[in-house]
Amino acid sequence: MSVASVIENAKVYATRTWTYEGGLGQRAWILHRLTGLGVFTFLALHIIDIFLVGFDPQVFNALTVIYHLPVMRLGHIVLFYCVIYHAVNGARIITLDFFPKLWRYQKESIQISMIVVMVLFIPSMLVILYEIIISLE
Amino acid sequence: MIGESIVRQAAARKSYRGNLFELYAWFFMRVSGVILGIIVLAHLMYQHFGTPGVAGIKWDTIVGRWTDPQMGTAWRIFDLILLIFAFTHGSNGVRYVLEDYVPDRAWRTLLKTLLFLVYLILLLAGSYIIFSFKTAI
Repeated sequence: MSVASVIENAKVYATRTWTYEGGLGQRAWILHRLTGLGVFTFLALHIIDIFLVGFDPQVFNALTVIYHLPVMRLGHIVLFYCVIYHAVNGARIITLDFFPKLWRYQKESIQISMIVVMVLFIPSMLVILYEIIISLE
Repeated sequence: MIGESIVRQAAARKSYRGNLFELYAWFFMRVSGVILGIIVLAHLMYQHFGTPGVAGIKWDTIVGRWTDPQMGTAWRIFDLILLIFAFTHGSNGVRYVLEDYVPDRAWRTLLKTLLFLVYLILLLAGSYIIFSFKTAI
């Protein structure tokens, strides 16, 4: 099988995932996967960048400048959202998995977790935005 | 422990035959998820909003923490736990995505093998760098 057909297959499956009408639970699951992949990608890069402390301090410090660019700081906001959503939704899944009777309140549990995500995420986002604006002046 | 009893129940079920790997993977995702929910959020919040703040982190900050006479060992153990749990949890999550979205068996095996190699290499690289600085700076 060719690379193109692997990509084609993945696209077909991804379209099915996206168009499947599973309601709120399905949407929460899609977002859990996407945020998980986002955090994984950052984590792999983060292991590599921390590995670079083994090299010359000057080189490492020069590279940290990249992470402090305003556009990367906006990326931090995305990272915060991904980590917070994945953690809160994960806690919800674990709770329902270990207390299966609660699955009938799945919709409510998602609504609660959305509130918790916003309570944790919005202040963090505002602080990071404030820091970006300060650094621009 | 409630989770363990679920694993034992599932394993004891007559209908369940074969490899228990996926069952333990499921259980690991829950246990590591709880641990990560605490330590990753703590890490994220402290590195961004604690001292010296995300823009102030330089080579000296990182290596200084690891080689600190009092707190060095604690920092290293914390970072090692963070690395092992987060990257194992994340890699297993990516494996789930590959299982779901790559229907061709040969390609799936190839991609999972590559994922496992990346997992091993980055885990070793990360663990090495945490413990590679011997003396206080």
